[in-house]
Amino acid sequence: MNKQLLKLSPIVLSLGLAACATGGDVDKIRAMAEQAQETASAAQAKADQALSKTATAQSTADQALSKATSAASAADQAMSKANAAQSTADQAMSKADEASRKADQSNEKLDRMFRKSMEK
Amino acid sequence: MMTFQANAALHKYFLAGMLTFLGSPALADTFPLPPPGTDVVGDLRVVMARQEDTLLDIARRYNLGYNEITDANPTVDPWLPGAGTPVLLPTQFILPNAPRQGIVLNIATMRMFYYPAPKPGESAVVITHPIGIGKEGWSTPVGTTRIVSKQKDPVWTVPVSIQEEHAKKGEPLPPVVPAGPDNPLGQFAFRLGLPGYLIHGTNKPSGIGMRVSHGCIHLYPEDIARLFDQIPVGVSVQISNQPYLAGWRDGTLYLETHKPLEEDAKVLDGNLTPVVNVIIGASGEKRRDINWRNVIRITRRGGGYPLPISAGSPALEEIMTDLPVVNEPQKAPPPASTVPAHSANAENIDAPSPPAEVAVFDAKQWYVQAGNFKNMDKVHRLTAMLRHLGPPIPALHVAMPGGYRVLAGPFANKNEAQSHQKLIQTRLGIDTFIKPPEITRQVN
Repeated sequence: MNKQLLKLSPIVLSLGLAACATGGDVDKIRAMAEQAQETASAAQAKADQALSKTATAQSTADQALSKATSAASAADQAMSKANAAQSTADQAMSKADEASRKADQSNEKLDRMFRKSMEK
Repeated sequence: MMTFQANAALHKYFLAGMLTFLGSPALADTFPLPPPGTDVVGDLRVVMARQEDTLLDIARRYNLGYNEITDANPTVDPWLPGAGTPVLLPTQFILPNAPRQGIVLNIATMRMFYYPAPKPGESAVVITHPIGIGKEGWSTPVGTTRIVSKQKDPVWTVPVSIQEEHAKKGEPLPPVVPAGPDNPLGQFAFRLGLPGYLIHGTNKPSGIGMRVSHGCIHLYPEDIARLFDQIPVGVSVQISNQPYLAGWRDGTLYLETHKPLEEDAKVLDGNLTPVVNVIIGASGEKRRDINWRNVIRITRRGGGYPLPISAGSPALEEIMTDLPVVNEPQKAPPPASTVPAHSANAENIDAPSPPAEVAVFDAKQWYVQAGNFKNMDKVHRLTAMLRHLGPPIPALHVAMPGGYRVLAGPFANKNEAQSHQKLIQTRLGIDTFIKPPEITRQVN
């Protein structure tokens, strides 16, 4: 649209200056120029709107990406914590098993000693 | 040959089963002598353990030995059965394969059967009691002998070999132990024709159903007190070793299997042949009517009580869920300390045997601290063990910050506390220390 406006401007100027041009021609050319100008303005406005939307979309996308990154980071941390908790739980379970085994051994030893003590 | 493994699976069935309640406990030691061709006496029953019970207490109340109650209840902690836990009472027995006369001892099942000669007008009976027998290396000999003499309040002349053995253990014995609560022979003794071997009482009743002697036969104090007057000198004594027993009742063949003695286990463990031989010997012409699946299951579990093996017998699970339940009084009988040590006689032996001594805390007395626990199970276990030592040691537990203290005592003075401290350390292998009189809050 802008290129067309630039192309029409020299024609309007040359016709306006030429003595042979009629008033009707000049008006016609002026109307064409003004329409072109309006069209160019409308196109500019649409372009601006599109640019604005693009910027908004970009911003939204950036925010989404940022949020996704944060979420991924949080998930990694949660996973890490879960792994640590699992490891702690495994260790606790292992210690409980060991304690239970020792308690059983202790009970068995005491029971064995008791039965031995029953000997004459 | 088949390989067997311990199997306690059936025990769970009676835990879940709905059971018939019997009116009251009864001592299952005397049964009408069944006619020839019938070999099973008594019945299986169930009792619900009380909070204060151990399996040893229940065994003694129902005339059973440690081996019998623990083998029949393999999933129950002997020291902490827990209130309301169903405990199977294996108070049913197949009579040993021996002439039904005099005394028959089955060392494999650790049980005595006495067939008194019936008096005119009386029906024949069989009296049975659990026994303690010779430990490994001091096995009770198998064979036939007689009662050659009997003695009340026997004095124990300790053989040199036993003196040496005790000295090594840190519990030296004098050459002669006078009658009294420290005498391992208890209050009554029958001398056998086998030199050096006796049937006698004990000052360690919790050892009945264990291999604890140097070859002698031990009986609960209340059992030998009853038998002492009944058994005359001259009675025959047949000592046998029969871990597998088969016998009839009401047209059904029963099988009873026990763990073989340790020295026989190498030959018998995993070997079905001796079991099959016993069954064939008892079944005669009816050997084809055997439920061999039941035979294998019973032999595997070795619970030590009779179960039917005839074809068409109910499934073992069905039997276990239909057992009658003995309805016991909820309050424990009086503590043993209230019964004088030498009062066992025909008047008091019919009462259910009390648990070992229960002490009451007295801050002015001396104690031996035997343990210090956060875990209440450990507190109850150790307390129960002290109360079941021979002679029993009174024990209790008191609260302390963060746990409980197990105390043996009370003792009148430091010397008495020290002698018990040594005894506890030697017998149970635990560290202890003397606790002088002080104020402590009692829990129970």
